[in-house]
Amino acid sequence: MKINRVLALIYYDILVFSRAKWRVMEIFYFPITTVVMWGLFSAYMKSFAFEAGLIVLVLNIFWNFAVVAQSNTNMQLMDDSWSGSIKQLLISGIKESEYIVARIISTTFISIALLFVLLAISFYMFDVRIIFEEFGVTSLLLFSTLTASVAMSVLIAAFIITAGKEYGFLSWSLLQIFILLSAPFYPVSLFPGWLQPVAAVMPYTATFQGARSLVLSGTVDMNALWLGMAISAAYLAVSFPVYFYAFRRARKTGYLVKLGS
Amino acid sequence: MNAIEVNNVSKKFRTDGKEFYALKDVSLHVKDNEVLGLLGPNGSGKTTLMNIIIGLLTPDGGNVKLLGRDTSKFPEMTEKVGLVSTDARFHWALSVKDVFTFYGMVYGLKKRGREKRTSELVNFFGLEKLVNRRVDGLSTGERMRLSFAKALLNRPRILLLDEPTLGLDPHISIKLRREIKHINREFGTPMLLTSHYMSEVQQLANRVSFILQGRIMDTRKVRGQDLEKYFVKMVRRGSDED
Repeated sequence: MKINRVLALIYYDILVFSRAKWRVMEIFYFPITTVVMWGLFSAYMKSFAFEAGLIVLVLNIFWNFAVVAQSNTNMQLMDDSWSGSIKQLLISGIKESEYIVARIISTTFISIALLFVLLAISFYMFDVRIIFEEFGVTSLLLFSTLTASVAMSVLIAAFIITAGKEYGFLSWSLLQIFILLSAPFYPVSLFPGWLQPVAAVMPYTATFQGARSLVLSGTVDMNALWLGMAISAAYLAVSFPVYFYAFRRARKTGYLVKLGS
Repeated sequence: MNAIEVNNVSKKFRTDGKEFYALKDVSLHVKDNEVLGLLGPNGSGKTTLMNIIIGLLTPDGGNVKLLGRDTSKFPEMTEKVGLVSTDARFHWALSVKDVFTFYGMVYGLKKRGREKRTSELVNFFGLEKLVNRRVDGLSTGERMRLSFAKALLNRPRILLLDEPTLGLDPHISIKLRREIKHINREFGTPMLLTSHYMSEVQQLANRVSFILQGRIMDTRKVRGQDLEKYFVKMVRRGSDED
């Protein structure tokens, strides 16, 4: 991996991001309006179910952070595909590893910027203090969320490269089922018995459970948190070999050429 | 040593459940300093071969050597190749200057060297008035010149020209052909040129290979050939063999 190519791609992402206003809108507009909406709901719920409203608000922050930390990387892949520039990128010596690592780095910066905005809104508009009071544990929860989202973005990129660009819509929709099964606003015990083992190994389950427990009791079961981080790390460990395999396969089937045409 | 060596390359694709050969046992070579023309009708396998040489496709059989090294063992050899093609596209949000800066960084050119090279290429391809224009505001001819300039940014050892003048205005085609000739003469850059235009191959290439239905039918020197007659003869031979 050559650092100049990774830095060049990050520079490229900054250029595209600053010129393509819809990307800025897409990344910030939806999460901000969602958090404001649920913040107002939590303010309304204060009088009769304070924690319920707060759980919805805090979990929405985690949810939006998770989505952007995944979808931006995949949207960059689709943007390169739709603009046809992916062929030029790949024939210029950029390796598949450099391509994805650069995108993960720029997405991490963007999603952290979004996270700061969402935390500021929740603090100044809705007086959510628990995240700042327990900053250490919250950081671990957010790190686990980021790791899981990076892994999901690599897996989704692998799927799109293998299956073709008509599956590009998965960039912004596939994560939804994983979020649902990761039980954001409710405990895993609400799922039918057969689904609970599946939910237990979903990428965000332990993190969401930790965030709910933080809001309700002010503490997080550290064993559960470490387990959540281990699950995220396992997804990440699997995602890269799958991604490299997808590239090799796409070079064989011709899907890599089609991705840029 | 040959600049490009394609040895018994085959490539199959599957469409609608049926397999077909896009390339079958294709062998050719491009000598140093030489321009080899690759003539063939639509769907004959020209672009598939280009994509294999550049590393976007893996062949099912055979191998490709660039400057004597097998690309399956030394994939970094493809970095020494510049590709100019009609479907060259850059992100619409970038300006011409951004394209040079970004790809210059990709090729590892330092800021001063990058700016010097950019200025040389901008002058060479007459892009001076377009440097701040976004890619989506360029005409087909201007985009083609940008593609050409980008392909030369890192001084590639080999150039692949995939239908470089397809769809261009005649005066731009003439200018580009002159530039291709100039680059080959000045720097001795070996080139593989695919084209629909026999006059283009006649003008630019030293030798020509004729490809039909994924097979190389014949290779010969261009000088003294009536390529039009040759083309018709090859197509006939191809349909007789079917």
